[in-house]
Amino acid sequence: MLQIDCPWCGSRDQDEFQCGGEAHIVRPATPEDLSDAQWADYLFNRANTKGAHAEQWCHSGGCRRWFNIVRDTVSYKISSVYQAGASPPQEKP
Amino acid sequence: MSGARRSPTGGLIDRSRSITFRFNGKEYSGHPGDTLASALLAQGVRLFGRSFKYHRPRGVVGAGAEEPNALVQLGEGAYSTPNLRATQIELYQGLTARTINGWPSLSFDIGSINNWLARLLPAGFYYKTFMWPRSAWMRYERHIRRAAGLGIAPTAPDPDRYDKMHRHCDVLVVGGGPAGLMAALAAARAGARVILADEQPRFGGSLLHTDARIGGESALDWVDATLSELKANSNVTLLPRSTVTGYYDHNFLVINERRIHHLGPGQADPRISRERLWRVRASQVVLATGAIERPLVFGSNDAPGVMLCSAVSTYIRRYGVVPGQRGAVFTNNDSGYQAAVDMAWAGMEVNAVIDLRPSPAGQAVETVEALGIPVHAGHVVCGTRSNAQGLNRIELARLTDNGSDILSYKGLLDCQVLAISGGWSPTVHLHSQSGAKAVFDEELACFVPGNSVQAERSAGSSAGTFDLAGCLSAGAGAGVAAARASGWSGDNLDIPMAIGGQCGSIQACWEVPSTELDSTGLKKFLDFQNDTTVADIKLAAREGYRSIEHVKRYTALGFGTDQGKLGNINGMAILAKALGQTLNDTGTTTFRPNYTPVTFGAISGRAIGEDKFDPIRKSAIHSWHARQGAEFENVGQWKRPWYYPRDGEDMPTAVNRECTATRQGVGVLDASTLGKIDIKGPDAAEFLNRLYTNRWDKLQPGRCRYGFMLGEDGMIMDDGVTTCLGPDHYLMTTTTGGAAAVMGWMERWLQTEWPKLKVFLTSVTDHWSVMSVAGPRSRQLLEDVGCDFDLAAGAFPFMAVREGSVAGIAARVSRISFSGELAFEVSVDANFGLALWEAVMEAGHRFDITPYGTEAMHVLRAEKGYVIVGQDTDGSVTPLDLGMQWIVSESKDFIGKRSLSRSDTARDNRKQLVGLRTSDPQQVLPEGAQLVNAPSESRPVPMIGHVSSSYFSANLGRSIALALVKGGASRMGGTVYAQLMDGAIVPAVITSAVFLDPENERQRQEAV
Amino acid sequence: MNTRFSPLSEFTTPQQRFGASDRLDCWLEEQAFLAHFNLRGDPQHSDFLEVLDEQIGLRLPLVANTVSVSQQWRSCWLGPDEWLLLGPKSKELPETLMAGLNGMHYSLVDLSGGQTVIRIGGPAWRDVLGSACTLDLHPRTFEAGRCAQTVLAHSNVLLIHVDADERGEALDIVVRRSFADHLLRWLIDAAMEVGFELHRPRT
Ligand SMILES: [Zn+2]
Repeated sequence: MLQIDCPWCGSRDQDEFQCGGEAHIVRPATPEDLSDAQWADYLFNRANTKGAHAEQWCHSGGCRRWFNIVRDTVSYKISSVYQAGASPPQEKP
Repeated sequence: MSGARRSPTGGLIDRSRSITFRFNGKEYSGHPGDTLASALLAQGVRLFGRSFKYHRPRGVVGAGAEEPNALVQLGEGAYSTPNLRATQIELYQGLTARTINGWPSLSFDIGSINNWLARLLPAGFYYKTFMWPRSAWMRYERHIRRAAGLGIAPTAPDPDRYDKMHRHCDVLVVGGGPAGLMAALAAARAGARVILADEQPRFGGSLLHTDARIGGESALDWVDATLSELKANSNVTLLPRSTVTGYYDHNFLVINERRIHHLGPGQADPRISRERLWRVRASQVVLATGAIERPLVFGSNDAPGVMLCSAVSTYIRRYGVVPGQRGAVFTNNDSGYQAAVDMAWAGMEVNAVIDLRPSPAGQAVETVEALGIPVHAGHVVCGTRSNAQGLNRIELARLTDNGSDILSYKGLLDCQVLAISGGWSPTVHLHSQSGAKAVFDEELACFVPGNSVQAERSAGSSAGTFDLAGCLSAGAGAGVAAARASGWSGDNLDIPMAIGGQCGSIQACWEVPSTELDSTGLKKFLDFQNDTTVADIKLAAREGYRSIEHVKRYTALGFGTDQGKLGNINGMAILAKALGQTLNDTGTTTFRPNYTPVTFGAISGRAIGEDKFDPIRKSAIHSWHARQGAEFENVGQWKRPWYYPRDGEDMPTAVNRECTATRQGVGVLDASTLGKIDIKGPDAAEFLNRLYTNRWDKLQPGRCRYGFMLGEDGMIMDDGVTTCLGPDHYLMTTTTGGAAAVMGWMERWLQTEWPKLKVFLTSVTDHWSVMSVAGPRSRQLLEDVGCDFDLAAGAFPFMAVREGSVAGIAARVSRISFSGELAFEVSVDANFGLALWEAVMEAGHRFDITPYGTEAMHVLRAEKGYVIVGQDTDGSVTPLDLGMQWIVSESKDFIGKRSLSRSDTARDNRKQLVGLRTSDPQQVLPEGAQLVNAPSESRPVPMIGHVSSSYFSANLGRSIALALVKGGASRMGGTVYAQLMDGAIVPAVITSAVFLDPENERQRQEAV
Repeated sequence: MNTRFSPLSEFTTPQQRFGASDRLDCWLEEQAFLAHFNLRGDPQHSDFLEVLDEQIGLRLPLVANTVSVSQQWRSCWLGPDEWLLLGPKSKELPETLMAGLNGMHYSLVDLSGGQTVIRIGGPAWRDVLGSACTLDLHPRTFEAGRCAQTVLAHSNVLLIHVDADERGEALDIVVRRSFADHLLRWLIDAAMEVGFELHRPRT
C-alpha cells in the first residue's frame, strides 16, 4: 500500500488515488495529420520504464486533483510530486 | 514410557485451576497458561502427527511460531480451524483438537511404512511423475491429497465477527521481548505514539523462560514494571496475541490480533471481534522480532523427542513441564548448555552434552560440568533410535580433528529428550519483506539484517545480538533513535543491569557428517513439515538447479505452513556448499507475507455479505419500490427495481404487463440513478464539442441533445442526453454505471490536457430525483398532476426542457424518451423525490398507471433499437459499427475521432449492430449466444458475432434480439445460426435493429 | 403540502444498543436538510473572495483541508478552486451573492438534496471511524478547524471536525444521498463493540 503525497492534501493512502499511467504524453494538436503509426504511438505505446517513471495520479478519493509523481517502478520510492502541467524535475546528477 | 510429567512447582501456569480438553478423541487436562502442546507434553503425549510425504511420526520440535510438526485441526463444525500450531494454541476449557495428518494412523509403528515410501518419493517427485500424461494427475491427486492430509476448511459459515483498525503511529515496535520492551519504553518516554505488538499472550519474549535477572529483580518482575509504565501512557497501544504478519511499501504493516481465541468458541461476547486486522502506517519501525533456534541436521533427526534447546527450556521454565526422564543436549554453541541446566533443574537425568566443537570452554561449560553432566567435546549425534513412543536412544560419534568426517562411532545412549541447538537464525522476515536484503555473518553463523530500505531498524537478537545485556541496550537505542527520527527529542535511557543470558561462541554446522554406510539408511531432515532432506537438496544440485528459488520449488523446502522457519537456512547452506558458493552468493529465498498464516475471516473483516462487501446505493424512491414488492437488479452499486410482480406473477408475466401498459397507457420509471454532471463556464460548449462526437455549439438554452463519448481509441465509452440550461451552463447525463468514470474522465482532460478551458464540473447525480413518465397518456397524466407550464407539443416539443412546478414541487421536465413513447422526465430536489412519485401515482389511478422496472425498460428500448452502452457495446464498438454515422461530426475534432479512420476501425467487415428475428417467434435467444454462418460439425466453427440483447416483446408478440455481426449492415435478410450451449442450432434472419415505429411517430407526437 | 424526506428518514426511531461490557460510547445522528452548496471559482481573483465575504460574511479557506466559519455558514476546502458551503436548514443563498458573482467564471450548485450529514460523537468515535478510515484522526493531527475528504466504507465522504457540539467533540461526515443508508448501517455495525445511541434526525 503506497503512501502518496497529494500536492494539496499531503500524505494519503493509495486507496484514495487512481493511477493514470505515464505522464507527459501530450495529445497531438492535429490528429488528422498523423499517420496511423504516429497516432498509435500516442495512443498505445508507452515507455514501460524500469526505474524512475513519471506518472499521473488523481486524488480521486480526496480533492479530485490530477498531479504527477516520479515513482521508481522497482522500489516504489516516490522521489518527487509536482502539479499537472509542470515539467518533471531535473534528474539529480 | 518417556517419563514426561508436570513439575511440582514453577512455570507461568495457574495450578489452582484445571482445564479439561480432548485431543484425538481422548480426554486430557491442563492449566490456564498452558498451550495445547505444553499440556499434552506434560501428560506424556509425544506423537503429534505424521509428516507430509513419508508419514513418519512426528513430535513437537519448538514452542512457538516455528513449530513445523504439531499442526492440529482445532474445534468443531463452524468453529473448526485447520493447520494451527499446538505450540501457539492457548488452552481453554472444552478445547477439542485433532491431528491433521494421522494417516494411516498416529500410533502406527515407526519404520514400517517410510522405507518403501522413501524410494517412491525423491525430490521433484510430483513434477517427474505427474507432469505427463496430464490425465495421471487427475487420477492420483485425490489419493495424494488424502495422504498429504493437511487440515480441512469448515463448510459452515463462520459464526464470529472479524474487524479492522487503521492506525498511524510514530513508532511501531514488533516483538515484546527484552529489546522490544526497551524500545517501546524509550520511544514512549520521548513522547512518541507507540504501538507494541507481540504474537504471544504475554509480553516478555525469552524473559518468560529465563532465570536471568534485570536491574536487580527477576526478569519477570522487570517485565511487569515496564508494562505498567507503558500501560499508563495514553500514547502507547499494547497489542498482545498480535502477529505483525506483513511489512509492505511505505512503512505500511499489517498486524493480526487474535482477541478471543483463548476463550474458546462461543465464550466471548459476540460483539467483540474474533480477530482484528490492524493496518498500521508507522513513521518508524523497530523490529525486535527475536531469533529462532536452528536445528542440527543428522540422521533420523525427526524422531519425536528431538526438540530445540530453547523449546526444552520453555516447556520446563514457563510451563512447568518435564518433557522426559532422560535427556541430552547436542549443540554447536554455548546457548545450548542452558537446556542442560534447565533439564537438571527440573530433575531430569541429563546424560550428556554433546558439543561438536573440539574444545568448548567458558562459563556455560563450567556450569554444566559443575552439575556433573558429562560434556563430549568434538562429538556429534549421528543417529537416533525410536520405539513406539518416539526417541529412546541416540547414537554418538567422534569427529575427526578438522570436524569434516566421522572418526569413530561411540555407541548408543539412553535418551528420551534430545535438546538440539545449531545456533540462532535472527527473525529477519519483516526486514526482508520491507525490501531489504539480509546478509550472512560468518562469525555469528547466521543471516543478519542488511541495510534498511524503509524506515526500520532491527534490535536485539533479530539483529544478531544474542546476549541479554546487549538486547536491552540495543532496544533502548533503537527506541530513542526511532522516536527522534519521527520528530521527538528523547533522552537516552539508563540500561538496567542484566545478570545471566550470556552468549558464547558458535561453530557453524549445517549438516553432521556421515559415512556412506549410514547416509543411505538414516535420513537427515531439513524441513520437517515437507520432509525435505539433505539428499533432496544435493540431488537438486546434481540435476542442475542453481537458484535457491528453483531448488525451493523443486524440493518443497520451506513450502509448508511454517515457511521453513527452522529448515531453510540449513538447506540454503547445504545448497551453497554443493554449488561451491558462499551463503551470500546463494542468498535466501524471498520472505513473503504472511509471517504465520492469517485466516480469510481476518482479511475480509466486516466487508462480507451483500450489505457490507460493497455499498448498496438507493434512490430517494427506494422505500416505495420495496413496499411495492419490487424485485431489484444490481446496476453498478445501485439497487434498481427490476420489475414489480403483482400477486403471483412470474417475471415474464410482470415484464410483459409493464411493457404493454407503457405502450398503451402510461408507465413510470425511477431514472434517478443516471449520472448527472453540472457543467459551467465560458468554454463549456467547446469542451462538449471535444468530448462528444456531435456538435454542441448551436444547442440553445431549453433544448437537449443525445451524445456519444468515445475513448481516444474511438470506442464508445458512454452516452447520454445533455441539456443546455443557460448561457455557458449545461447538465450532462451519463449511464448509471459510468457516472463516476465519466466525471473523472472529464476532470482529467480539463486538468491535465486543457487547463486553459474555463469550465467547472460538479456532480449532481444525487441531488436530482428523476422519474420518467412514458406512454400515450403521459401528457394527460402530468396535466392532472398539475404543471404550471404548457405541455402541448407545440409549446413543449420533443428534446425540449422546461423548468416550473409539478405537483407543487420545483421541477425540471425534459421531453426525452428511451422507450420510443411520448415521455417526460421530471427531475426534482431528491428530498422531494418520493413526494413527487406518490403524487404522480395518485393522479395516475384513472390511467391504471404502471411502474415499470429496468427489465421492461430494456425491452422497450430494444424494440426501438436503442443500444445500452456496456451491453450492446463492449469497448470494441464504434458509433459507425452501430450504424450511427449521423452522430459523428465531420467538421470538428473530438476525442477518438482520429481512431475512427485507423485501418482496423475503418474496415468493412467489422461487427455491426443488427436485429435478429428467430424463425420461431416464441424462441428467445440467450444473450451472449455465438453466431455462425452455417451449422457445422467440424471444429472450430468460425464465429461471426454474438447476441447482445434478447427479449420477448409482448407488444410485437414475438422475440427480438440485437446482435453484433461481421458485416451485418450489408447482410439484411440473410440468415445466421446461433449455436446454443445445449447443442441446439437456431436460425435467425438479420433485420434492422429497429423493430417498432421506425419513423418515431409515437415519441414525437407532434400532431397532438 | 409536499412532504420532504431526508436521505436517512428511514431511521426516525431512536435506537440504543449496548456494546461489550455495557459500553455506550458513541452516538450518531443525521443533521438533515442542511443547506449544501458546491462552490467553484478562482481564489486568485480577489473580487471572487471579496464577494463571498461581503455577501455572506465568509472568508473562504485557502489552506487545504481547513474550514472557515461565519455566523451561519461553514465553508470547507474541497480543492484549490472548490468549496462546500454548509448552512442551516433550508438556508438559501442571497440573490445578491449570485449577482455579485455575475461576470466571473464560477459555479455555484445546490446539492442540498444530494448530500446529508451524519454527526458522530462520544468517547469512542475515533475507534468506530478507525475501522475503515485510513486517515490519521489522532487529536494531534485532526483537530478543530480541520476537514478532510476521504473514502469511508467504499463511499467518498468529507469529514469535518466539530468542536462546538454541546455534547463534546464530534465529527460531521458529509455523504452523498445514495450512500448515506449504506454508510449509517456500516457505522452502526462498526459501533457494535463500543455500543451506540442513534438519535432522531436533527432538523
Ligand atoms: Zn488531494
